[in-house]
Amino acid sequence: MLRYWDSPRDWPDARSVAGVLEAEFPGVLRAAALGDERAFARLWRDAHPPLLRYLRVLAGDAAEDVASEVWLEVARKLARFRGGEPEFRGWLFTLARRRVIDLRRYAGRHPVRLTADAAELDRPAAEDTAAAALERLSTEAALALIATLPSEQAEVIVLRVVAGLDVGQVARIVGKRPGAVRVAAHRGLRTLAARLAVSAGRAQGVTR
Amino acid sequence: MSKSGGSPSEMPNLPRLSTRQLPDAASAEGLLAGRGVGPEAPVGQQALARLLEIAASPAIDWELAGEAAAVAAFARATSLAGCRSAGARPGTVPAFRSLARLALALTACVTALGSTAAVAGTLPAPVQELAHVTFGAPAPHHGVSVPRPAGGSSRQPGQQGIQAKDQPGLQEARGQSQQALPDAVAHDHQKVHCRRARSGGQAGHQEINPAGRPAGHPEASLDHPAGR
Repeated sequence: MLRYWDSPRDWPDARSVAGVLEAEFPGVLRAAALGDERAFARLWRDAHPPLLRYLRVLAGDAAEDVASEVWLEVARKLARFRGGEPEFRGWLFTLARRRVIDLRRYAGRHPVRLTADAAELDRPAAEDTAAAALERLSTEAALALIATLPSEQAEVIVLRVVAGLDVGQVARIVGKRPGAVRVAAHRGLRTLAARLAVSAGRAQGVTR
Repeated sequence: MSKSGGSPSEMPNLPRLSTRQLPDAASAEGLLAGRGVGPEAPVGQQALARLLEIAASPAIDWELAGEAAAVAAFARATSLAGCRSAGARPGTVPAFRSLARLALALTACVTALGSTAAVAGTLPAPVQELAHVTFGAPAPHHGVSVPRPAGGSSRQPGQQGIQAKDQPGLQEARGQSQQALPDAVAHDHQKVHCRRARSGGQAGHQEINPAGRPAGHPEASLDHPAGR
């Protein structure tokens, strides 16, 4: 079992999940827009993992369903898309965000759904999640810890860190000023650090 | 520091995180940009940096498990949308579609406005006549703007219309608009009305109904401006 105080060389490889096609992107996009399945598969492999992590934080168990809907919308509208790789990434997460908003509205109109209640009941407490993230150091545990933040803070942190978007892109996606995005992200990081501190203190108290 | 799996007694220098080690704005921005923190940073910030790095670690196998389904859905969507038509360049078909949509929207607007104007009887006389023949709109010159005859109201006491009775402001506005018509226009209207009345047709009576009601309808003449 790895712990956060172990040697960094023992930690999992921490290269970014946000893949980048860079110079290849225009050709891949053009081919995908013309219906080339292999080109679409490259776009999907590049952008789906960060999209799925974003949705896991915002939509929980519905993440994969929402991601499928997002990619279906991308497939339908890809021929009309104009822009480079950052714009494509921003468009993708904007579509995902709209789907999440629709999902929340639906859940708000149908509050008696058992799945929603079960999801709330199954959600672990923040302290437990922090301890799990520290002990397991898995991607899923780290995302679960981030998901314990207020939704606005968790969203901007995932968009910045996992999706690899800059402040301006995130501000356009969430419809806020860049300054507000920075403040939300910094508050979220401080909250995370505090929770990590609490968990570390507990671990220290237990182990000593 | 000891490696994983060591007993607690083997970790005498276990770092303790405190709120003093929370990241400031500059270090938080570095963490968010993926620059991490330096080795001299407080342990708490190092832990936070590692946590974020793990959250952004490379794709896990199960995250890529849906590729085949996604590509199949893409193939279905593109075949339905006709994106595979030979030689089609991105953007050409959507541009044509947007033009077609614009034309359709304009046609719908013109039709709606024209129909409304025809029913209200405010179209130019030839067009109004055409609308009258085509779908029974009021005949020209017999809309709500027919002037009140000189000498005051000729409405019978029992003919007080429901609409006018309940809306005195509307009745007053009608009277004002009718009085504001030039005398020549009022004269023409009156001549046409008399000519049609002489021709004796129910048709003539029916045409001047501004609300498009049939002549035999009990309320047909109640709001008739010429009857005032």
